[in-house]
Amino acid sequence: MISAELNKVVQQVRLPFLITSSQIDDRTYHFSLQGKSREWEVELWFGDSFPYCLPAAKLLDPTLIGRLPHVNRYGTICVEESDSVLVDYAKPGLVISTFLTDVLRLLERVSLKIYQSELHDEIEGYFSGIPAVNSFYFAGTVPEKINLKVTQKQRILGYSYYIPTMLSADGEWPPIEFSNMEKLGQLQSINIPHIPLKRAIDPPENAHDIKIDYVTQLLALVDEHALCVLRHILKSKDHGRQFFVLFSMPRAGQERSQLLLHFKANSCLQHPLLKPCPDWEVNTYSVQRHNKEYLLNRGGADALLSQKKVAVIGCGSVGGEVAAMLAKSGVGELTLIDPDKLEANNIYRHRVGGAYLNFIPLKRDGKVTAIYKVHALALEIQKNLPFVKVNPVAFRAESINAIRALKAVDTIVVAVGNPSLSLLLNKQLLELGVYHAIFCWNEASGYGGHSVSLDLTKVCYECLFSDEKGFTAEHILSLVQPGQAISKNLTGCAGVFTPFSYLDSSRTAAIAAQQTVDALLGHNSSSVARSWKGEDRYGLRVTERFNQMSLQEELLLAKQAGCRGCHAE
Amino acid sequence: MAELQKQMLAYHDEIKLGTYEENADLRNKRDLLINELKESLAEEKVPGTDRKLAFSKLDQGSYAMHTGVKPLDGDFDIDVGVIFDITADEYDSRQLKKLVRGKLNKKSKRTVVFNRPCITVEYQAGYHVDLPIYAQNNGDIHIAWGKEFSAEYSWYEADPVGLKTWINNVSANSDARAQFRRCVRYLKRWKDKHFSNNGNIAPPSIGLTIQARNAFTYKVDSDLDCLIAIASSIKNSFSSELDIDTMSFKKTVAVNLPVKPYKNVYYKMTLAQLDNYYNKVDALLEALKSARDNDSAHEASKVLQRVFGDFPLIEDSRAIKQAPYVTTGHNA
Repeated sequence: MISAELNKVVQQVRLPFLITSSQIDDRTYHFSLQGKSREWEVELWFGDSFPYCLPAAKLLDPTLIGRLPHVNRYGTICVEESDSVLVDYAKPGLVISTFLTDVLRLLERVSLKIYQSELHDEIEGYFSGIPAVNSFYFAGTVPEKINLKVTQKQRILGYSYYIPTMLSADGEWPPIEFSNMEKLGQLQSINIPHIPLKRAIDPPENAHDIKIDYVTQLLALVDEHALCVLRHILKSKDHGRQFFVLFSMPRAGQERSQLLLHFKANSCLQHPLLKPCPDWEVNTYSVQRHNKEYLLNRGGADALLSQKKVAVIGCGSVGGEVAAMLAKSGVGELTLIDPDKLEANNIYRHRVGGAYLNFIPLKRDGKVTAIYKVHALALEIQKNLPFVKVNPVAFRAESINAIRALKAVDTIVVAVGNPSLSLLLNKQLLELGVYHAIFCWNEASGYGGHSVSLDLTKVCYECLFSDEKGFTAEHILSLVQPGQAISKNLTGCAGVFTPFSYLDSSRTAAIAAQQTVDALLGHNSSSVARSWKGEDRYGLRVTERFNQMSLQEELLLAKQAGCRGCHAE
Repeated sequence: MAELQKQMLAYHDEIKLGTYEENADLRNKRDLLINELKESLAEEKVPGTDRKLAFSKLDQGSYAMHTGVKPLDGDFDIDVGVIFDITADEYDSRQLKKLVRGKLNKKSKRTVVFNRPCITVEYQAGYHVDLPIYAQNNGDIHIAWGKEFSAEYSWYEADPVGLKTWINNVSANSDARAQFRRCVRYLKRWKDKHFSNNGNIAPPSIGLTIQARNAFTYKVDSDLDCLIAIASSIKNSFSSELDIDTMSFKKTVAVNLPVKPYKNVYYKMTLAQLDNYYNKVDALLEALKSARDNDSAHEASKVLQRVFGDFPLIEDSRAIKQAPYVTTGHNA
């Protein structure tokens, strides 16, 4: 909406609590709103895409900034969660009226004393927009020595000041496999104190930055024990030109509000917490959390899953995807079992792609070696997620090494695809006394896919192929009739493959991963098969089930009397 | 002005924890322990006599007074008085509490603690039973008071029955009584939401109940008005006192039990804790008035949610379908 149109719309806004409105610039307007006990001066700024988005609201009275929750240090008022708002763009006038009503309601509400503690919960929100330091440290209630990686010295008046780079607990390093942590190890480390405050405190008055007088207020909330810890960290070196202190204060929930303060001076002074002095300049940093507790919750993962272990047998297109999805869901430990190496043939339908192919021969024998799929997956997953342990086992599933790796896992996903091997693994899992497993596979050529969650004490994989008379090749879930020429090859016998795509595998894997998570969290204890159906595009003979099935279907499974797996002696 | 009575009543039903008669779970937990104590004392005699050491139980606390609320942390607090058929001269108060502690301290999955006013049985399952120990004392009931290793321990006068009666006799009108009980429950929920349960930071529930009883005036069809009147009275009961440590004035209050021993129920709270209590009551009163005076029931319910923590939001009267913008939760 161009500014002239906007101006016309704003001029037409009439509200009983609107005292005055005036234009500040093309897209900014000032409004005086009459509240129950005070007038509120606010500004609305309309972005270019208005009315396809809401305006931004700003509180103008600086004496109120730092005193009201949901108003940050720039005065920005957090009225609505903007990333999921649906705006009726045909009613811009009504949008503005309603928005002003909501602004007034919010301000009136949060100025009640009972909302004071909400301000304390929002301390980090108040300071949003300031520089942030990455942190793997979980700030609890204990004062302690922590580690700060520092980088890139700035020369000011001949003295070098640090730039804080990453916080971590003393002696606890983030996993070296994660991201570019290896390079971070080369940076200088310093010990700094974490000083937990006994209670939360309002931000500085009048929207001011944190200065040494505010630090004096923080000090009033520091107990003697914390200062002892500080002295211990400093030892005799309590004078300097710069110090860092991480302050934390309680808020609702597990996480504490955190601010890293960098004290800088032009001369050597005693530590600011031991002797506050106006000569200290204070730089404030917010904390960008990477600690496990925060990241799992923030990413929608379930913290309970971080204690769980899953084995995935078969890490091809479906299994590799299942493994990656389980890691992203928050599963703490994965054991990946597959003897195959990654080849160029795989990269269009495997979770890991060409980045893991090798074209450089070894110097000693001139051979070009390929990476095992499980090793590539482990690298990929651990590079992307800091708190998952991946154990790659590059052996056939039926080998003794692989069987050993199955001990002490909470559940097992079998994604080998091959039904004969699946029957063998089913038998081995029953012999091992495994209680729960998930078998998943694609049908050929995008005709569908299946994932079967099995309580092995009641139903087994072979039950799918069994009826009261015994074994049958067409199992109860089949969508494509067996016994057809399904495989393709592009280069002769050496290049035979079963046609399916990455999208097919992703759909099947998503179902299998969800079933795995449900089983781990105890959400579903019954044995269930979930199938999806694709299009009949390649003229394959389909089963009766394919013709009758809707796009997705769930079947409750029961033990079959003729099953040789369940009833094996 | 928002009309909230219907929602207040519905909310009350959500937080209400019934009496022993209404709640079999509470009843079973109580009876299990009392029966166990009875059996374990079967062979005990009153010292120097052949009389059996017999006792009767007295339901006390919020469930007996119809003011129980569902605990936020799952830690049920069951109060059962154990009134021994003895005189105060017949048994040393500390020895009798030790005897009870010893008899109950024989099972796993629970710990038995010797507290000043009672023996507390704490269960791993997340609830506890307080057992104040009384001497019937020929009708002049005394409580065994004092810590295990404190020099100050004795039989003190007490009137648990009188207290229960005083609370329950708040009004002859059953509707008024019901409103009183609801308001005490609202207050307790507010307390659970806004005070830490560590130490003596929170005012004890009996204090809130007595103050509510002292201030109660029946407000037909308006729990909110009734609660505002109670909160206002509690706020006005405070006076100022100079805090020597900080050289500032702080708010303080003393509320005596309406029955023997007539002691101040807030005796454990420090001046700073009482001042904090005042500030929170002040904030409560402001919020309740704001909810009452708000034209929008939706806005009022937001404030009440802040007060109680789990008050349900009332739908915005600006119909969702016609609203110029709505939050959808869509994401990608």
